[in-house]
Amino acid sequence: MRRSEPQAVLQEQFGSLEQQQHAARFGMWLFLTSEVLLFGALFALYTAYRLEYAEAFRSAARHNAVWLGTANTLVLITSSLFAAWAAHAVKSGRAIMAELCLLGTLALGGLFLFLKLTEYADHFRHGIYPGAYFRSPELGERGAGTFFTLYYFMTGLHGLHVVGGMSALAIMLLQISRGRYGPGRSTAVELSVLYWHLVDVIWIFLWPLFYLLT
Amino acid sequence: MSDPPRASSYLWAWLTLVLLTGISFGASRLHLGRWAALVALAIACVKGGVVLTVFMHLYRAPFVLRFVAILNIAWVALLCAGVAADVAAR
Repeated sequence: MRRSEPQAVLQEQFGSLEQQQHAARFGMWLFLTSEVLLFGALFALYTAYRLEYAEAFRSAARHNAVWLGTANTLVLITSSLFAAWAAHAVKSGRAIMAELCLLGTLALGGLFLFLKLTEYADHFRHGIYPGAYFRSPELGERGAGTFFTLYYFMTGLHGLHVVGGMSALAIMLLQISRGRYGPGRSTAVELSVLYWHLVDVIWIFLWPLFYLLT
Repeated sequence: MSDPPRASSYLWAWLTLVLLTGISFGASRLHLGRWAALVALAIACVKGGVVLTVFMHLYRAPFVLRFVAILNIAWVALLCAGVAADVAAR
């Protein structure tokens, strides 16, 4: 019952399953483009303020726990490996392997969020809040407040994307366990994993900007 | 894109990413001054490239998908370069 072979259904507007799959992939890449548009504007904003307040940004970045940021980089990279293996396993008909890999991805996603929230909590204890609520006797300059406002906004938005990606992957996990996806029907799993990789790529750029350039 | 990539290629990509993370971290401790940002961003670009080509399958994707991905990177780079030039020229 559980492992009856699921097959993709050809929609009438497509000539073949291959064409349908290509359209789905292309659509996903266009969606990812809209995400890049969103983050691209924020990266441009960061560029402008970094040049404006070079020294304040450097000293503010020293207040971020570099080990936490680096650990989170390794956590997300590893979660991407598990996600890639999960999509591969679904395509090769190994449902149990796919489920285990997705569980690994979800666990690492959860660990990422936990570490991020731990860092936020530590900042709050030191009066480092976003926007007008920023209070830090050590980092009194205006530039430091701008740095942390960007930090909360960009890492917060990224965190929401982690939650979104985890939700999509959790649904995939549930559907795989119900036997809804397999070698003949795996596009949804592949596209959800694609989204997770984009979340990884964005963090790969956030890490040096907020932790390394001190 | 018909035949799926081998699972071992993902492992190699992961090892490369871990290694590059280590190199980037090490380079940040060397205090390279004005070169620090360039080195860190260059390494981040290589890491992003590894994720895009191997994990996201662009190395054997149809032209149109590669085209979209390359334009994505190009537009963000152009946007940031334009903003940087504007602020620096004030």
